[in-house]
Amino acid sequence: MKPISKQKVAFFTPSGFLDGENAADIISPSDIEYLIQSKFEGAFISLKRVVFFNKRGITILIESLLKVRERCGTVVGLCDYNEKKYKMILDMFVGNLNFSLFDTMDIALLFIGDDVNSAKDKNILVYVEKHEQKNQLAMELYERGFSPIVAKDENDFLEKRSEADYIIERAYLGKLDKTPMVYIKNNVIVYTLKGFVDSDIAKKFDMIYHENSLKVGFKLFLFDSTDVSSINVHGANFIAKLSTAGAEYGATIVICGLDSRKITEKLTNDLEDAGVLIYPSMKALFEDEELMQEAHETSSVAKQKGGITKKHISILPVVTEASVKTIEVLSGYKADKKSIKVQELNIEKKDDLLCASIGFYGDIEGVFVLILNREIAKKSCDILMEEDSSEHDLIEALGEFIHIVGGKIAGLLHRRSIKIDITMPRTFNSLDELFDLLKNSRGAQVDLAVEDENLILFLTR
Amino acid sequence: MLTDSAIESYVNSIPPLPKIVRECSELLGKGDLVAAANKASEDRALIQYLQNIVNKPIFGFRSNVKDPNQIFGILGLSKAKQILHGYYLLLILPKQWKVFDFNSSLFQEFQARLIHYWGKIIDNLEKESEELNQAISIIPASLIVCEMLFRDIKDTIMLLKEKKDLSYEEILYKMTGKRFLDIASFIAQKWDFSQNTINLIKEIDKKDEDCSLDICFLKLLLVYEMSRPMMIKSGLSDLFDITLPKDEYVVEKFYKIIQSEE
Repeated sequence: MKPISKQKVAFFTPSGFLDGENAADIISPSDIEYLIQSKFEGAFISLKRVVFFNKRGITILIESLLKVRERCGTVVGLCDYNEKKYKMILDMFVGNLNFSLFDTMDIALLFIGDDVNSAKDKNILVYVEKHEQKNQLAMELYERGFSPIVAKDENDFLEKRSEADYIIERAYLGKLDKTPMVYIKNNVIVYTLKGFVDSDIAKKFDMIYHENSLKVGFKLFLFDSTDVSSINVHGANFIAKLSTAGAEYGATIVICGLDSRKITEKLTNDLEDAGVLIYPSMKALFEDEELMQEAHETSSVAKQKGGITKKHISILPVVTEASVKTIEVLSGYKADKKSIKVQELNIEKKDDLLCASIGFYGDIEGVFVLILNREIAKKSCDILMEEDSSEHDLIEALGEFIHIVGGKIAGLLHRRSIKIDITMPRTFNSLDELFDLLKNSRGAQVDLAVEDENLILFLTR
Repeated sequence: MLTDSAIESYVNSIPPLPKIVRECSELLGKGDLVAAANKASEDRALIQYLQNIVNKPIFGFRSNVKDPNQIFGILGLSKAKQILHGYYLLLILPKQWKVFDFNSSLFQEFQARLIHYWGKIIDNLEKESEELNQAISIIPASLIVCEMLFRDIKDTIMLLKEKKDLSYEEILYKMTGKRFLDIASFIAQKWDFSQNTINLIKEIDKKDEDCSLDICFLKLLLVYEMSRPMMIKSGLSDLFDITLPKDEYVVEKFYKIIQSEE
């Protein structure tokens, strides 16, 4: 069963009855291999659609996930259960609970995954019966940059729950020491290191994600070493190499939280020689306005010199076909091609226009941008949104939408023996942000008519 | 995007029942197993189907049963009717499945399992409903409908499912406002199933947690069968989005009945 992936976390969503007969097919050996290869931060089984489960079924699934954890430190566990299921799980694994439990998928994503922005300003209420667990959960959230409210007792919890956006009441932190873990804070990619940093880091580090981030245009990468015991020469060399390799993209590597007990002076000097910036703490880094300015100004798609090439033109029909088909399938509207021009992005700026982009690399590299009217975007993303969705949800859904289009483009090109991978999608709060990004960039602009509105596809390098 | 007209044109494309099958069904309706078996033997495809289904391991017959009289005799009237109704679906079964890793043999296995386990449930309930039996036979049409409706937009649907935790039913509903069992009920109508059966098929699909015990068991049987290894491997396991009974005792009772003979 293929898991769905959200922010570097894989979720398996079995349905119906979960027992010894079918558990081995829910996470098959090829799924385990996929999880290991993809270096997910977390891998969870959602019990939302499970009607009935027994210990045999759950044990088989957890054992499969533990194999992944053993190989790459992935955080594993269960989520999306009710009170009764939660108690059943606790009873099944008394004294032997070596995996994590989170009330819902969204709550799991507060603890793991690379997006700490979506829930930044939300009220998170924590109340679990065991005091120690309650504190651990709260601490973990603090470390991720959230400000959870910890209920003192049950009465306090009942009083505060109506105002909470996230309620954590049936959670358990299992082994949560994946290193490095990654999240994005203020346009800085933060890798959290824990314990001993040695040659193992090279095996566990998700190089594809890192390269992807460079290609998308992130410029500042922080290794938070607050919880590190020590770094040896292999660990330091690995970080130094990342710094050297990142220079091509104008990226800067920063380490914080080190002291003389954790790293030798020589290794510190070696890191500095490789261009790694050393800050005493994460706070000090985020207070460095100059550096933060750099992170913000350049956190756009990495620009490469030169305009669009013949190769890009050759894939334009595929890009257009994939986009038109996806729009038509998901919105129900017909999209008609009006014109194709090679030029700088040329559109009449309107308030009701939304845009998103996605990068691709491999046999061809470039960026694909989609600009469309809000109503068309709403209709196209309807299937990706809940009923009472906000503007923020729409922007997020547009990111998912362009990711689907990107996936389709990659699939169609693959059939023509052109192999590309796609980056994370990027959404924009305004058209101006997009124009800043594409300043002086020539590309192929395809104007489509959808419900008498202009929809623009822009392919550039 | 799927539209109502796509569904309508699909339902319109469904062929009527062949004359022999219709006559065989009428004879079974009169309770005449011998005449029905004789009529069935005039249609080689029907005989082949009956032999395939009845000799599935789940029915547990030691020797290969071939003769239509023997088949109907062993099955009894109720199961004979169900299996004949199951044959109707062969008329719309795709030769090749493109969305799901499924085939005709696995489809028949699924039909056989539903009939077999429903028999166990009926034994336990000690009550039998002709309409529910008919409904059970037509429900597998949903698998075919899903395959046929989504095959032209398979790539987009797969990418969508990778991003979102949506069942095929949720996708269908968001696109057309219809559910698979709605379409199965259109098919039942086209093949002249009784109005009671058609209503019952719709009732299974109601988003109602409180339902009669037999409907609860039918829903649970469907959900149970959809979560078996064969369905997980084929990709069909997240086809439905069925609202299940709140009463967990019913779920446990159901599981005991199913497991009691395995």
